[in-house]
Amino acid sequence: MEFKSVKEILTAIKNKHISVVELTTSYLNKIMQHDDELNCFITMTEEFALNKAKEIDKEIAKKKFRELAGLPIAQKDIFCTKGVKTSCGSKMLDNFISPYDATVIEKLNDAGTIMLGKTNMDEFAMGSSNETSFYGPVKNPWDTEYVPGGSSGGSASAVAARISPCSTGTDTGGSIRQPASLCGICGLKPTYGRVSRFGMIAFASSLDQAGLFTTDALDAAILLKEISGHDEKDSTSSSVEVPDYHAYCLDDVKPNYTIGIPEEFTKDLNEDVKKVFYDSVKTLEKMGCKIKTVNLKYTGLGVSAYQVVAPAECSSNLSRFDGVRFGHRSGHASNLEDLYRESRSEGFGKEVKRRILVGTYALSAGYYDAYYLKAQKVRNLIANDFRNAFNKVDLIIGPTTPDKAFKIGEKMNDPIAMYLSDVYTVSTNLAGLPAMSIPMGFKDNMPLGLQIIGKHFDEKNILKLSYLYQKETEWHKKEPGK
Amino acid sequence: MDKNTINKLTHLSKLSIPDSDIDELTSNLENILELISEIDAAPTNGMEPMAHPLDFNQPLREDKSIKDINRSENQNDTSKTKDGYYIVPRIID
Repeated sequence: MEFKSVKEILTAIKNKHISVVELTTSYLNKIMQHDDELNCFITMTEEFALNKAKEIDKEIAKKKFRELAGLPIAQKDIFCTKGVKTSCGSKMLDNFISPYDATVIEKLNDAGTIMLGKTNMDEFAMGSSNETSFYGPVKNPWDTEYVPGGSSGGSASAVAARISPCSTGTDTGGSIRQPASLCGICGLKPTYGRVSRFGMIAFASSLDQAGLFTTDALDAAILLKEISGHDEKDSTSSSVEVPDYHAYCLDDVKPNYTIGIPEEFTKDLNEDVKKVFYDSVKTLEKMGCKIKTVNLKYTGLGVSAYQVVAPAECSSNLSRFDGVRFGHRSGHASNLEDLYRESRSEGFGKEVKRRILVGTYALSAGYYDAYYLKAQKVRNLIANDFRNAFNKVDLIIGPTTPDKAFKIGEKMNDPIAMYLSDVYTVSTNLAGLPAMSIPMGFKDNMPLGLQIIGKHFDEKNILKLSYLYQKETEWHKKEPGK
Repeated sequence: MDKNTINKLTHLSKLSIPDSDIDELTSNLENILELISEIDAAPTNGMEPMAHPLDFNQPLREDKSIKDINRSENQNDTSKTKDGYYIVPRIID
């Protein structure tokens, strides 16, 4: 039995057209069949999945239905999962079995989802191609010579290849939206604070946010409700009320959205991407949306400011990996200082070390004001740009990425080129805004994404516009190899 | 970015970089600092630094002790622990 969406799966389970054990087994088989080539998963959790599937089947037999009863899901390996290896894509945590669940995992487990496994990712979420993973690169299912994007590359590739109906990701500078764009699926990064970060291994704490990958917007709406909300274990999580996103998408009210297109997001685009983007703008106009040009004058400094703030926070967060309490411990240390240095030098890969060094430089005596403080002020300039734009428009759109996916190996020796692949996504993290990438077309048979950015906590209108757009288009229904 | 600066940074961040990688790393860091230097010209006079993206008070939980931490579960890597303590190499020579 083939399912096109989370919604179809939940309906089939509820109507007993398929048992949860049958469904789980079918997805585990798909992973077995395709993952040797794609490398989406670091750890498979077959036993855990089948035991949980049996438990949910028993509940269903007693007419007990949890919200997401029986839904298979792939979890990014950045989320701590009790009793299961949580590696964060790093040799440093290759031996780490988490003693507790992240709040996102706990909520999804409680809602009745079935974890199929833990997905591959750039090491400590630092990368835009999934090539920095200790476990090898993930392949893009549209063409396996190409990257899936990153850092949540395994989660994106798995959903695009239909070997998992949905997955979790995290987004610090574009790590959900960029791979969603390059893999031709939906990727939602909620407002900073919408979803708890407890148990999500920290990269840059003022930017990190958990989110989702699905094939369509309604599925994202269903899942977002389940993972959102205040968590007393994360004081930066918000207590703003969580709406019923799914019901909001489907209600009869059809808003006449005014949508802003920032000049800064289109002026340097290549002609192919520009054409695909403006075709999607025409569709939005036909749907009744009013299009306005807006200016986000300082977003051009987004990557530069991000490359100060994120490494600075990363150098601080990653100081906890010292080889003493958990994670990789060097066998070559003769004293404590050696233990720290050798464990870290052996455990971290090149990109992680590079970012720790940049962050250490930016925070070191004599440079703090020139780099970190200045970058935080630029961050405010960028946030102001968005505040002003949102006085004139309801939502902002642009291409998610400057181009289609690039080839594996193409940018690995050029960190700057790699960083610039997040040029349209980093600013929303700096401002803490919600944003989503949805499929908008193809260039040379490789997918491209449309980014929709909303006001703080306005995920519901991002999802509604995405849903309405997907009623008019078929891009989200395209599958690799079909 | 010279060798002394690299040495200072690796010392502060408790990392060692093989000599064979130093040239590549120096060049990478110089390029990254050049990218970062684009923020120098931004007109930030009078701007408040933004450390956090949302303007709200962080809620505090009720001040009561919770005992949900199981020592043996958290110290499940037995190669590093003994009798509830962590084993480390000699600290004082």
